[in-house]
Amino acid sequence: MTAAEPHTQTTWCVAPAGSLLTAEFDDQTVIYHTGAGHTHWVSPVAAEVLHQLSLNPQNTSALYTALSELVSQEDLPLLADSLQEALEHLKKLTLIEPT
Amino acid sequence: MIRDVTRIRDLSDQELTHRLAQGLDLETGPFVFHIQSRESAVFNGIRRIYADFPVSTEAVRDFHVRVRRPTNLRRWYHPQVVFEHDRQSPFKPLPANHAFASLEWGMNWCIAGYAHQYLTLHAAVLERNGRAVMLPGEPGAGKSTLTAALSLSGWRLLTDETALVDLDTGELWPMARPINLKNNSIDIIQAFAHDAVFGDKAFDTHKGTVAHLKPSQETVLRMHEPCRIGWVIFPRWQADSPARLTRRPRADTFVFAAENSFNYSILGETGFRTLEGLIRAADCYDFQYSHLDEALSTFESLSA
Amino acid sequence: MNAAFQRLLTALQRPESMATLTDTEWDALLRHSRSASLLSRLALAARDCRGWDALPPRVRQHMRAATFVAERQIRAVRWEVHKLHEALQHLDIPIVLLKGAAYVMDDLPPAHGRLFGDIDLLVPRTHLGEVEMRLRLHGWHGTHHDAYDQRYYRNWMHEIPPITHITRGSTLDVHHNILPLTARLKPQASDLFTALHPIPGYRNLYRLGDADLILHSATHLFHEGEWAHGLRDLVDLDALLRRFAVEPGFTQKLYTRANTLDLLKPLQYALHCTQALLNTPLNELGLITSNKPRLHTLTQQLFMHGFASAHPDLNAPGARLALFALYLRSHWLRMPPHLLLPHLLHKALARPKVAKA
Repeated sequence: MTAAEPHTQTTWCVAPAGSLLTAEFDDQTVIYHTGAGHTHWVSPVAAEVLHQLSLNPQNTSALYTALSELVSQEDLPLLADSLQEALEHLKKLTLIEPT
Repeated sequence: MIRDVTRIRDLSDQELTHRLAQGLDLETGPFVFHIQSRESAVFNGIRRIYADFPVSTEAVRDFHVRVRRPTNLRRWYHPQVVFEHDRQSPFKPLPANHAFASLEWGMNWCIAGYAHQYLTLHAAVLERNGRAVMLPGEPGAGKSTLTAALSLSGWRLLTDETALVDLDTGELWPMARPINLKNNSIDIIQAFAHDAVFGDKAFDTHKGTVAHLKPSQETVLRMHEPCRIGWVIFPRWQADSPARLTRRPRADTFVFAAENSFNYSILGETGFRTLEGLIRAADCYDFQYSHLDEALSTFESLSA
Repeated sequence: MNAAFQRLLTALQRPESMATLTDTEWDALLRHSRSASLLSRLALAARDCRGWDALPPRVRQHMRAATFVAERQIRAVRWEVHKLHEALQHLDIPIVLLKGAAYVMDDLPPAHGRLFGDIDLLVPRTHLGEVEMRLRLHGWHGTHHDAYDQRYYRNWMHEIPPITHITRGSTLDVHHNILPLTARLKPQASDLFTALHPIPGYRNLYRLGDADLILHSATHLFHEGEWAHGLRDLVDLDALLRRFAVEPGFTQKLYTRANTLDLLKPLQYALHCTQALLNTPLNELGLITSNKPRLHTLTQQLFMHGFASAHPDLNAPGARLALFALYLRSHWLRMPPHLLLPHLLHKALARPKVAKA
């Protein structure tokens, strides 16, 4: 779990000015944002983050909670780092933004 | 269905020269090019390499193109030619003996730049037994040599450069146009098939020595037959490598194809869904080889 | 005017007439409209008048392709505006979107079936430096390093040199007035800022007021000398007039603004030309006043040549001379003589620039 209190965390949302399209192939997801205009394949964690954020904007704690329901017990300790990595990656790709 | 059409070979030299001077309407798959030129290199290329192609009788032509001398000194001195699409010259002038190559590149440019009624990809496409193999164009990978060899070994050529994917059905549409080969590819294919017909070589182009391989009659006769995708294969010639197919993840193939599409970003969601359908329906592989005949048998067993 | 040009105009004036065109006429019209950046507009019109299915199949294909391009550009403009808002949202000044970006962001009629180039902004001159700095921090950089160009743009024209985004490659033109400082007409930029219209959803983004939008479009068309897409600009004007003139009192507002901004002449040119070429129903829209637009015959002919320059086939005899005259005219309008001659000389002698990546 991240050290910051929930209320000081960034709330993330999917980049506006376009829509997010996804296609799943085997265990990878291809993402295309019609505004940003570029295409990437992303890890399952990142794909799930995008799915969560397309439902509504959420902060890191909320995302962690949502994702922890989906990972196995043995993967749980790795989740916090994977989540952080995914958020940084998606931000760099301009697919998500702080609100 | 073989229609009763006039083909380039049915025209006398005089008629062909005359038509080219006024504008020859050439059918290449779904496109009709109105081609105007007085250059002998263009005449020779069309006469020999496009011999089996139909002359269109339609009044609406897709692209009006011209290969002509510029109106300056280079008209006569170290003569140059310029390619035009609808009176605009998108490229620098080239030496006059590259006129046919210039026409071919120009025609590709028109399709890549305007034909957004399809998803267009930089890839070769060939068909056998009703399924198509798409070979995306990684530069320097020897794709053209392999494409040419396949087209001379029972595979129907749809295109060597520009794949056309139907936005509504996902089918691949042919153009059946000549294969552009360069440098030692030309020698390899000439050795591979002694009766292969080539156009005149153009030396010292920006790609080196370039020549065009005449497509088979069957390829040209079937230029209006689409087909479904079977495989997307990334070929790579690697010295001393045995022929080896390895599965390539579809997601990765998708992203590569998107980056090698001429108009994927223009098509937005439609492009995304069309490409998704294509990749989902295809078996995707990386392919390494060093011997052409081994490559051909690998492909043959795939399509069996 | 020649038959080919007339056919293009008729298709714009009465889209339902496209159903009567022969294939030979379509072969020409496809090319002419594409050159004029109006193919996607015709595609939209064909759909609107339910003439889509009656189009020859090959024509439909090209129109379908052109429509994809137009739609893509709308997406691209929206994204660029989003990014530029990200860079400038904390500035406490109005950022005014001009022309195409304004049409897209406020969903005005000219946005549809239109092709866009750079994004044009208008900002208060006092904050130009700050705007430039923030844009630079967010990845936009200048491409015109030549000292002469810098001076030309900054001191004489009404903008900083165009800036390009380092990863996206999109270009912004940042203006502080809509006409050069050196121009003969002298609209006050501060006047423009009094009538702004907010862009929904964005804190400090605006467009020009309705009347100013029309005046700016007219001024740009008749002063900037970019006649190759002059007809497209005229189509925009026609759409704006039809949209805004239905509001009661608009004509009065339009003329008052034109006088305040010293832009009556371009307005008169615009009204004359939209009526002459596109059959804009000025009477019905209440746009005819005692100031009925009247143009000198020579001016009319010059403009006609300008509009027809969209494609070589549309040119009537005398086009080359007319276009040269228009070229000189646009420079004359922008610069006083003591600046104009040296400038033209410089342009004629300067080596061609390296193309932007």
